[in-house]
Amino acid sequence: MRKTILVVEDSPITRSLIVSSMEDLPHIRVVEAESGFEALRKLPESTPDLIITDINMPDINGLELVRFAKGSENYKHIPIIIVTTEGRDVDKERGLALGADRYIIKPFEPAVLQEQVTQLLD
Amino acid sequence: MDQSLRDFVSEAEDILDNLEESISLLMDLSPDDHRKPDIINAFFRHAHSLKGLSGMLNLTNLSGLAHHFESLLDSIRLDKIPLNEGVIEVLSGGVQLIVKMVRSVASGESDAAVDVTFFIEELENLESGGVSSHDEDLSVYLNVPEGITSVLSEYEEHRFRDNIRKKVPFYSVECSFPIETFDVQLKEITELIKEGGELLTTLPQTDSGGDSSSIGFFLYFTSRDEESAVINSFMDIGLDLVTVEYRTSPEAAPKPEVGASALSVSIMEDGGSDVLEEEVRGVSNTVRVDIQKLDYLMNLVGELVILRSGLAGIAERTGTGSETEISSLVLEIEKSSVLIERKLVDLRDAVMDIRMVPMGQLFNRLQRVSKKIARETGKNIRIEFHGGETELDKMIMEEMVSPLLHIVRNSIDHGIESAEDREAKRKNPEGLIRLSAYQQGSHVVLEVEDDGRGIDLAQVMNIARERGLVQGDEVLSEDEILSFLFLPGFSTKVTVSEVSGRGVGMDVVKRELEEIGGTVEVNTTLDVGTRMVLTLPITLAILQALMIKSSENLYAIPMGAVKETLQIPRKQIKTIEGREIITLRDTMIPLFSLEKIFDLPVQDVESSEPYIVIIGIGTRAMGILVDDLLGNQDVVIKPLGEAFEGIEGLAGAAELGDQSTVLVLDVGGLMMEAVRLGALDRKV
Repeated sequence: MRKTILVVEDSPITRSLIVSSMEDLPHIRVVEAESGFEALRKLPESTPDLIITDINMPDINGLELVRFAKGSENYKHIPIIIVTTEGRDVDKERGLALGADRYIIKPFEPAVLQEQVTQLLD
Repeated sequence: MDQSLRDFVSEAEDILDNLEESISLLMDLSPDDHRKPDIINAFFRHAHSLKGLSGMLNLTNLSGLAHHFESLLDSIRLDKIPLNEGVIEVLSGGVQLIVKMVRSVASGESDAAVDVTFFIEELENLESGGVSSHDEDLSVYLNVPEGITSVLSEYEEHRFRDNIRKKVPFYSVECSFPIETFDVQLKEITELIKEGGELLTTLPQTDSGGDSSSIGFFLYFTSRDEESAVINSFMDIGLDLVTVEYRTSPEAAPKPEVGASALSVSIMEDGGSDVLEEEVRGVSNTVRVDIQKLDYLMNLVGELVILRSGLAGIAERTGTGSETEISSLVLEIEKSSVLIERKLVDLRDAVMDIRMVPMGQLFNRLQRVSKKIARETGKNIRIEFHGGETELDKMIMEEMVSPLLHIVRNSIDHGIESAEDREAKRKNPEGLIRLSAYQQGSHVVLEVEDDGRGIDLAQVMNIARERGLVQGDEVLSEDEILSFLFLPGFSTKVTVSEVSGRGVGMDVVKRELEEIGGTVEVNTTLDVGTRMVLTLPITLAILQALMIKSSENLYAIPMGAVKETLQIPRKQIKTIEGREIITLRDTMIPLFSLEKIFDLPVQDVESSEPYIVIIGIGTRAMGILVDDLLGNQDVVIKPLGEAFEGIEGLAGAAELGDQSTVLVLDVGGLMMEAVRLGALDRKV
């Protein structure tokens, strides 16, 4: 069955890199959001099987998105990968504490991300 | 360049614009401005984006630099490093280095071509001199529901702490909106908040009922306004505010000031204007386009395709139809033609729209560089920008970098007097340079005004006499005298430029403007100031032209330069001092023929009521005598090629619908030629 991944990232180029590495996986549909707000709006309509989110974004940050999703009856089962930047350990720890399932550090190898995604979707 | 690199450059260019805007904002900011955290945070995010972006493309040097830059900004926004002039200077230098690196990547070189070791050392010095932030849990101070502090990013937490320390009152407000429109509604509220304070966090609320058609938010913010005023302003939009209680922390120990003296970074090689010009120039020839604009274009193309297939259908039926059928088909063809024309106009406008960028982008870059020049000269100068929202074709804007920089530099170097001189003249010791942009018909006007010493016309006249440009006792108008400044080599001597208050190379400025079909005018008053007025076409690509016929030759005149057309009895044309003129609404307008300008044989048709096309740029006007007017048409200008290079008065050639070509006249050049031939007074 086809799985849907919601990719939340404000930098177009990073987003397109994440998206293209996801599209290399079989049976994947990708929904993109370029801000936290857009992610909130797309959550109900896209019903994703996995969320990949950046932390630093202009409207709401990725941590707030994680807290929102993990606290919701509708979305709490959805695994979340947070994308953090090297050296920002506080953000990473908070993300995991809020219920994020994995983290990857930018810049990342597409293979590493694909590996994480495959594990979480199985 | 491969596609991913091209994408990179285009995105990086956007980030650079943002970084430069941030620097400009910081430079103008007073220390206690409440927008400071927002500006620094935005600055940080731009650096952060650049780091991520370059990291993804394995541009390790650039991402390394961006990383250092980001962490400096991070320390600043977490108040580990105080923001002072020295630090802003370092940041400004860093932005320059980043620009250089992106530029070197854009030109296909490695990002390692720019040496940044010195800069990075400076940054590290700065950061090691910083102080660490305190570690007590925020909830010790803040009376907020559990879980809220754990969701704050490190930066947001710091903003909470900082405001607690400064004893600024906190508020929270809860609101709920339909999921489809919440971002718009929320934006209204956040803008209300930012008017008087700072938004600390926007926390989306999880709805326990599992209803996903609406979404709630908890906003935490501060405000410097009176508590009752804040509460009332929210009541006006139907929201109840809660004032958040908190305990103030023990006073933080005063921070050691990081010495500004250690920070006088001189990473920039001190520049002649070439280096400065490079700084101001855009990085690439790309324009980022809103996808909606492209969708609109695609729709237009779709509609055109449909219209064309309608025409094909008509053609098919014409072959077999009877006479009456054919006459109704003719009507259909006419109808389709009108529809297609309308769509083509839309298409043209949409394409032009895509090429447009706001002048503000150039102003931001100019601002930083002009401040730098002002600093170097040691003069106290305020630089104002107006009309940054005025849009201009991206290519034209880039062409304007060099002339504008030139003029601004002249104003700073030669126009604005030293503070002592200014005080002696009872002027404000702070000099003023004002750049404004505004649209005027199909032109954009850029004005550079200074309140400096102005140009000494008598002095200019003396030099003109020395050079033999003016006979001993000839009296010239002010405009005529000023036009000397634009002659090649007239004002190159340093002594001249200092006395005349106007620097070198104005002829270059004029030539650069003419190349894109613009003009430059100068107004000046001694000891009051000088104003340079540049008039530019909004776009170069497609233009509407008036088709005219003169001695059996067809020409196109850009409509933007056509003021009006008229037909008059030949006897109304008067000859004064060997010049043909007409009087139009009490103004005398000189006339000339294209044959005279281009030195072509005249096909004598001598109509008794010739047509006259009044052309002009800015306030200047002249009339062209023509045999016939053939209506307006959209033309795409193509260059003429080497054989015709250097012929004044021709902008290019254009292809017409019937595959014939027509010469497009360059009105600025024509007027120059008319001046040379004595048909028009000398003025630029």
